[in-house]
Amino acid sequence: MSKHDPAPKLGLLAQSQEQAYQNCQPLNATIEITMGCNLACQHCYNFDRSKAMPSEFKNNSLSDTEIHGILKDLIKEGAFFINLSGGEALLHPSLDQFIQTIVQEKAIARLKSNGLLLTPKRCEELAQVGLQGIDITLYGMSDESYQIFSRKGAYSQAIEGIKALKRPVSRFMLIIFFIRPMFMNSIFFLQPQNLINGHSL
Amino acid sequence: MSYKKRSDLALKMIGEQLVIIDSKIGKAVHRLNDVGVFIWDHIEASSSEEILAKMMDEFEVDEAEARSDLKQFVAELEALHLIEKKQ
Repeated sequence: MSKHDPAPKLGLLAQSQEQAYQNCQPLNATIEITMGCNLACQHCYNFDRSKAMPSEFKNNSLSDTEIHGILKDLIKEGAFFINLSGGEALLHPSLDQFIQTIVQEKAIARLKSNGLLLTPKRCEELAQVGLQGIDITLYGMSDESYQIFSRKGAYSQAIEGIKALKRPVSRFMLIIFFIRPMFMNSIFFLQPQNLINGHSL
Repeated sequence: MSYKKRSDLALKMIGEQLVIIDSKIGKAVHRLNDVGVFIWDHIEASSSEEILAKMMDEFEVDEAEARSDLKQFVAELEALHLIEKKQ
């Protein structure tokens, strides 16, 4: 198969996903490694971020050893694409070690993030330990939408994080929350294209 | 001749097939069928002649066909940089 022909490769993965589904094999898995976050989004499904973190979360966080064990168990049960999420996964001090465990177990490590903590140096480090891709969620496409839903000033930080991904992590995906004012703003449809120009999604 | 598998490949058995993701060199996805998986499983520990003998035991195939398939498959794995000759 030619490496220059993307269509059969996409077909191959799609077929594998279908076969795993038929076999009840959990090919895709997501683990929330921390409840901590550097944003306080109104719509957060973890807990009400306008208040302090509930003690049942604070006092019952998984230890690093438990997370390493869960990752190994997931992969042993058939998981191949492992997403590390949160909270904000980049806040976890042992994130790099978790990625290394996934890579050592011959699986694919991905990250779900709000992008605020990504810098060129951090992206290099993540690529170095074997991270294969990042899904970044944007809460709108303006400072205004972040101010309404999340935190003032965070939009520009997120954009800087996305720009930092340009080289080291070859695959990333943007997940953009649609909010009503966006539909009235045609520039919204142009900005993402500028951000991702030159990247494979 | 014995071979070594590349250590940085992501691998997963799905049903009877092996999916290989090569993110570094070929940047490609490969899938091996049951015969391919059989050869892949033995390629580091056995010589070509030993693999051939095991294939004859495992699959209903004549020697000439098995020899030809094995040679072609190993050459393809090597060309894709999924395996390399042991020093």
